[in-house]
Amino acid sequence: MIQPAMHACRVQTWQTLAVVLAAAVALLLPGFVAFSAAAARDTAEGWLETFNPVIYLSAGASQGELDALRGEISEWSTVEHVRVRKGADAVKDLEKRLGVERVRELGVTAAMMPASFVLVPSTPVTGHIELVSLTAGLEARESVDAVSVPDATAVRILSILSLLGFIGGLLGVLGVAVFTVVISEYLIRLQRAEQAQNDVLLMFGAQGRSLRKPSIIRGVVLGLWAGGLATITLMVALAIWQSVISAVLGGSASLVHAWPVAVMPLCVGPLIGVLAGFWVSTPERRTTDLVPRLLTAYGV
Amino acid sequence: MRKDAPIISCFHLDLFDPTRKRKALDDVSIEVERGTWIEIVGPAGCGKTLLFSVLSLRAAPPKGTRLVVAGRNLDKMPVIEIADMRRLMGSACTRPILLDDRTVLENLVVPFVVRGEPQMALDACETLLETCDLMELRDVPVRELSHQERIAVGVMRAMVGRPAGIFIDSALATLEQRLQKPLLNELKQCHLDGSAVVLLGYEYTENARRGRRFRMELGELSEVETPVIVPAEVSEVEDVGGAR
Repeated sequence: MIQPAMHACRVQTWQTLAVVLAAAVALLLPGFVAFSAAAARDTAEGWLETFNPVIYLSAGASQGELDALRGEISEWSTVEHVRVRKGADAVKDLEKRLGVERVRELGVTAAMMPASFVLVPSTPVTGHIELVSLTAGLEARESVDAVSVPDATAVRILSILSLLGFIGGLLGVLGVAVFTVVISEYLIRLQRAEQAQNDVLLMFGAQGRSLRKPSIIRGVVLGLWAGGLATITLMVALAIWQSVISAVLGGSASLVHAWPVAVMPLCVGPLIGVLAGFWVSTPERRTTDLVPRLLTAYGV
Repeated sequence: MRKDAPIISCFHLDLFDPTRKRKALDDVSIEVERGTWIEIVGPAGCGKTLLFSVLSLRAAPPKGTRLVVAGRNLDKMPVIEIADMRRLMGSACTRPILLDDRTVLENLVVPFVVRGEPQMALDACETLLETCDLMELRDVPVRELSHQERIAVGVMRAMVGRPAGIFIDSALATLEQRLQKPLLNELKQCHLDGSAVVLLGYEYTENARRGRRFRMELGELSEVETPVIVPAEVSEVEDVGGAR
């Protein structure tokens, strides 16, 4: 008797498809920027986090100078702690990277390896970036033989990626706003197309919640479709990214930030859809022919 | 909800029309008892439709009006319960809101569906169509109906299921005799079965002498005690009803 909620969408198939597509694009564009930033950032971080700044100490430096230097570095806010790596530890690290056999072949011994300070940043990546300049400056000191810091270009790229992530976030807000407008406008149009039915139901005593239900259901379904479409596209992009990364860098990146970005439209779509459905179906936004000019409608 | 209370009582309904710069409704008070027959007549623009909208709970009255529905004060009623109160009523006007893409029968069934009584719906609607001699319209989509037939369907929908109060705004007056007579007879039957019937129009029907008569002029409502001249054709209506 009373048409099901999705009947109006089925009647206007092409318009519904266009709205879903537009809504999906609204989520996809910022999602893609944020996703690219997140995926690139994950990849860069993965590489950068394995690299802690190292200060190689001069052989002639006195214990007092070394203690003073260590104390100074420990007070940096970006440094969580300073690990003292003696010759034997350096050999062990080398063995881990090159293999025991290879180190033996090379004839490297603990006496040959200089003592060094390994700086563990207090916060990953951000700590790394700030530490680069601070650590690089230590090379001028007499007690320091050399420093090893990540390549400045990599750090700069990472900074740009952070900016890209921020822009993606801003675009995300804009995309969500566009998505909300697209879905809401369409829900209002569908609601107006059913105005006669709503008026009749209202006239004979239908509860407000039963009049609101179709808009809410439509909001959830349209949001789910649009969000699902955006997520599927981002998932495909993610799979492509992973295969490219593994081909270029030779290992798989963890992509901890990229996954949530890819899945986000699937959660955001229905959530905004349900909110839009609630909003457009409030009595104040429902148009009616029941009420004459001088009177007002009941808020049912 | 009190069973013995009037269907609806309206006290001191005042409404100013800023466009016409006069009162559209002027201190209107009326009580619609259960099982009563009320006719309100007046010229076009006197405020009948406004009063109809308030009494049939289509529109909220202005602040300051006391509206009591089935013994309950509407001012103190949660807004959600107004919908329940509407289930007591059926209403129709000269421009009925119908579901154009649905058949006449499907339109008539709507009140039953909303009231949650679908069991008797089909039988009741078919009986009503038969009684009103409109069975041929049963499966006709409403968009294919003439204006007169639309009004007739609107009136039938208002009385289907015998609601406690039936409110008709000028709809019967605009109908040709072929459609008007059986509908008026069916309204009388509803009245005999206990429904309160409120007719608003331009002239009293013959049945007006059975109930209360009101006249409306420039927003003022006054009860008429004088006998009413019965038009000849309306007498025939009663004869048809009596024969049935």
